[in-house]
Amino acid sequence: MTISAAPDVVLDHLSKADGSASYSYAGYAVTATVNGPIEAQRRDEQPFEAIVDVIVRPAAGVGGTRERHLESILCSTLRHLILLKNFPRQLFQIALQITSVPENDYVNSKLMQASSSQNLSVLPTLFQTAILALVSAAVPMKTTASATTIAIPKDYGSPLLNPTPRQVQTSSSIHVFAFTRQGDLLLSQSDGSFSQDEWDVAHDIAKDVCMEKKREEVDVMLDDDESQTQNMADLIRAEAQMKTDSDLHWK
Amino acid sequence: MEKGTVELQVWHQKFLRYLACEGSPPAPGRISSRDPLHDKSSSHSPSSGASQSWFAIGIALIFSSFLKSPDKLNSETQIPLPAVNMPREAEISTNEKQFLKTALTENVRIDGRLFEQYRPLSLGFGEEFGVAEVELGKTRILAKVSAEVTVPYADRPFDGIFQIVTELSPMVSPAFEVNRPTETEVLLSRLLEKTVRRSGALDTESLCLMAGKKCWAVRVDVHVLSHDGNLVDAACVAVVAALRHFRKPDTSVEGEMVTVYTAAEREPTPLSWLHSPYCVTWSFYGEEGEMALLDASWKEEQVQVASFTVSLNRHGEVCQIAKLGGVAVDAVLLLKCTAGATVEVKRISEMVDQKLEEDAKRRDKGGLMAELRAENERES
Repeated sequence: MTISAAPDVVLDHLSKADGSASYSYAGYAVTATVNGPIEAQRRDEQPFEAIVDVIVRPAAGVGGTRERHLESILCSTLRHLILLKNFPRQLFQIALQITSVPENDYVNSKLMQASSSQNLSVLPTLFQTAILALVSAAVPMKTTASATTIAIPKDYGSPLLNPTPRQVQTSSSIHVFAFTRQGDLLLSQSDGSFSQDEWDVAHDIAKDVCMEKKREEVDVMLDDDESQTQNMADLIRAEAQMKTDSDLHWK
Repeated sequence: MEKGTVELQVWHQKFLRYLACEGSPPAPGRISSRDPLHDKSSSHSPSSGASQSWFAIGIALIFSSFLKSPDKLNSETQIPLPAVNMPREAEISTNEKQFLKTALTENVRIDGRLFEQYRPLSLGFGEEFGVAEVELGKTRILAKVSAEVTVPYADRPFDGIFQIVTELSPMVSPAFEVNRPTETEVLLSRLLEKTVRRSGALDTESLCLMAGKKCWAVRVDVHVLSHDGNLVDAACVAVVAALRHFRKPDTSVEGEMVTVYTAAEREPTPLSWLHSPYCVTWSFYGEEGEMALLDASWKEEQVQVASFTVSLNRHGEVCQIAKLGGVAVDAVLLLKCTAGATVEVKRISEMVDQKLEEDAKRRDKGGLMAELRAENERES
């Protein structure tokens, strides 16, 4: 199976929702819609801030513990970004539909198979799509953020960015990090056995991918033309810029 | 003895009221029916009868308090009132309805289509096998097929399992709640079931690996991403296309051993597909449903007086007809609609065949597919 090198983003493609985004990268594809701020149910509403409702739906089969776990991680992370205090008694509903997951040609997967490493590797795509959908819905946020996966191979090789399912299978630990555009750590989830040094290395690589580059650094990188890794912060910034440009086209 | 009972009963009342205050939100309906003050206020009940009934209730309460564990009691009193519904879908206004109806009497549809005109239908496939995305105007549907080996049903040992699952998520509209099927969803899954499963489009016997012991369970998940009317037709195209696109892992049986080969070992094989049924939905307007519109949009669906879904394959064989409620429609008009549907189904069928062929060509890069294929040629 060929995996497209560059991330693919489509914004505002679903008509009914307030905001929507499709994002695919490294074999994972997720479609998200955001509705909000909308009226919260009486039993859920918070008097001083908005609530965030994240719904994750698998591509095949019914959602279970795995999806609830991902929902709780995403919900607690996104709560830090959205300006909730501005919308008391309201609700932001983020529905995430996983549409494609890379297949491992060497293993026959069971439908309801849920190993924890598989859980984590879809998390960055979910997170990124949620951020893009929130941008598309023009939900006020403190900052944008992005996430990535790092796998540390069993044979002490160099850490792998955006590992394939086969690489995940043969790695000793995988780590998911999310950073804000300014480089503040927002989310860190790890699975497997690893040392403090390995975590530090993974952290630094992820930070490099997720944090916005300074202008002069970008120029240098363009010169040597060997930067295969996509900078996630730049991607989201470019998308946000394109969206504002098209929204304000009439001016 | 009786005094003791009354005391216990009063204590029980207090306990219940205490729980009601603790629990949020309280359950006033439950508590007030047991409230003695409430009963005393009803003047027409004779006092002796009232005391007798109180005695009975007291006994019942004592028994119930012994039978129930405290936390169960607690959870029962904490049950909230019938859940407040999620924000409802914005309804179409009366003016808009009137405008739409008047326009139809002047032979104009709000999006400028002819009465018998479909919205543009497009079909795309994903990187992996068995994923189809259909776009019909602004309606978007994604279908994904998956298969796994399981034990067949005891009463059907020679058949595999074939399931179509539709669930409308809050993605479609915040009005849909998770795990609470709405009428739209139930009708959609029933119609797909009748069209694809019961018409025998997929040969379930071919899914059997070992009679009564092992079979394939094929599952189609239909994800509605955006709802702008005519979900049934779009979902049907998505399901049929995804099933025809799907490849299940190749297997071999030796004695009692079933081997399932991974995609790296052997090229996966397509499902045994017998015919492709497609749905066509007509909506009726006017006092007696004398105007028939093909492929109504969401707004048009809100003002329709009846709707009629017919499923056919490209040979014109009718698989199912559903006209669920609405006004009675002239039989001759229904026949005309069915004839119109035959033409439409041929067009859809050609489109799906062509897209499948294009996708197969795209995947067949080195021209090796013919050699890798395990199954024999089949006349369709």
